[in-house]
Amino acid sequence: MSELVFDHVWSDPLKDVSLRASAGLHVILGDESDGAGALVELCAGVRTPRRGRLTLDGQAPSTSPLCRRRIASLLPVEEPTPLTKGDVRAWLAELTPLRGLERDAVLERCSVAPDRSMRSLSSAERRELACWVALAQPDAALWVLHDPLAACGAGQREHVLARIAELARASIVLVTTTSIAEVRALGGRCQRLDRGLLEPLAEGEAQRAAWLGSPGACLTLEAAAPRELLPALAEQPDIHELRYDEDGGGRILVRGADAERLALAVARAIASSGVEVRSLRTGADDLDALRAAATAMNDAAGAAYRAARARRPATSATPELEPPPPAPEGSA
Amino acid sequence: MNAHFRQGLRDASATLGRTWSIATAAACLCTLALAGVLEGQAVTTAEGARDAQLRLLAGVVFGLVLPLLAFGVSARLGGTLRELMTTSWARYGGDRQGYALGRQALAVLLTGVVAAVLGLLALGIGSATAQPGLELPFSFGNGLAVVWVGLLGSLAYTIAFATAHAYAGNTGRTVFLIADWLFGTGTSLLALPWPRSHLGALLGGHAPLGLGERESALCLVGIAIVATLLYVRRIPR
Repeated sequence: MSELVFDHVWSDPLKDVSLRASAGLHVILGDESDGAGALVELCAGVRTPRRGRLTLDGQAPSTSPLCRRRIASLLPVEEPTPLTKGDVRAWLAELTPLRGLERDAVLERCSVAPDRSMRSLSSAERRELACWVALAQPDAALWVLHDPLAACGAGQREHVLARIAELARASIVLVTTTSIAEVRALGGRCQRLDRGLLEPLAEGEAQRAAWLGSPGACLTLEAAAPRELLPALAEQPDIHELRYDEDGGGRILVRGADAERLALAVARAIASSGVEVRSLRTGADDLDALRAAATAMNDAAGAAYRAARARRPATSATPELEPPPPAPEGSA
Repeated sequence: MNAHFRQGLRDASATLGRTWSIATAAACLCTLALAGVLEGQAVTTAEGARDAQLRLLAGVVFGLVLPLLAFGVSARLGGTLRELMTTSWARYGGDRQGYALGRQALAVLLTGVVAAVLGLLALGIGSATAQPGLELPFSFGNGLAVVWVGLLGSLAYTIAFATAHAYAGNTGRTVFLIADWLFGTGTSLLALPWPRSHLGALLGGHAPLGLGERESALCLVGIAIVATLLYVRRIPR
């Protein structure tokens, strides 16, 4: 059985990535700035690790042509081919001696016409073609695909998912994606790539990711006294759904239609209840939405702070100062 | 010739393109014609004719046109490490080293043919315009020598530019061209690693460290071999 091994691999922006993957579907959640593209390029053999070792069955893809023949890949950016005269059919014919491709299977699924010149293809069309070339390969040991569902049309989504599931039964399939919804659709073992660091996603985390993957904006709170915070949150009209996860250490999950309004509502509830909040995290369908929500949360925190400051003169007009507690006996 | 080398030749041919190749060859020819006319006007004595002929050969064809042509072909072909790593043939399981050498082989061939033809033309123009008995005659031996020098110079320049490009991109290639111009015109130890100094020596100029013609030819072969080894070493299989 084939095995893909990352042994303390460094390659900008990946930092000390170690991974051991055997047959099955492995989904990695992260975008290109997190190193998802670099990870795929390393596996495809078009990039050499700066430090560390990457092998497929003991061979390094970047230095072994035979190893690369056993890898089917879809890169983040498919470079245009230097062939100026060839069309899609000629290009596939050229690759056939190397890969044993089923050309008809590629042309049947792919929406790019076989008589189109390779030079005339847009970057999206090149990615779609490369995706079907990868999926049509009959006997690879590793399939490594960057956002395959985004590369193909909406109508082909089910075919892609079915093919990935079929391949994962006997081989290693490594898929990187930026979409939490796609993580749910693909299933398999999920890991998160965050600013170059590969982190495993625990079972509970995967379920939480699934919850966060539903439409709308989501926030997760960890508070010192979560039960005291719940009534204040429930009073907020912008919070449409509230979940209390007692098994997860008293974590509160809230959902609303809009990230900014949800964050403001949470900030109001925290201010009114006076409960100390230990952490506040955002969840969204994709990483861009996640970052937008984080920005909105910062704005909401600022707005809550300003509101609290505006209220302070009124409350501090008649201060009720308690005398300081007596010093314990024996203390200096 | 293996499939990877053949694919490299095919891809290089497609990248260079017929129109670009013909236009470049025509530009080189025009440069030679212009230089020939200027040299012809400057010749006032019969003794000066042979010097003008040598200036056309050593100065214009092998000193100016050949390095610039090799530089241009190398720029057109590209071939940074990133490009070679991601090229579709290698990515789908082809041997990168064979493929890259195939690409460079076509560049050497194109540069060599243009340099040899221009060298023969320069020899012919000089013979036709100079005083009989004073010129370098357009004999079979001289023609063969010019073709041989042209091919050897093309090999050394093209592969050296490719190596500089693979290690340091466009900057590396440009720095090599300038360094060849600066150091290759001397005769000290500094001139030894540059093709210009040996090409000049093969055409009757002063060789670095007083080397003979045979040693200069061997140095050119040596430069080409070292550059090829460095080039292959840079590219993972």
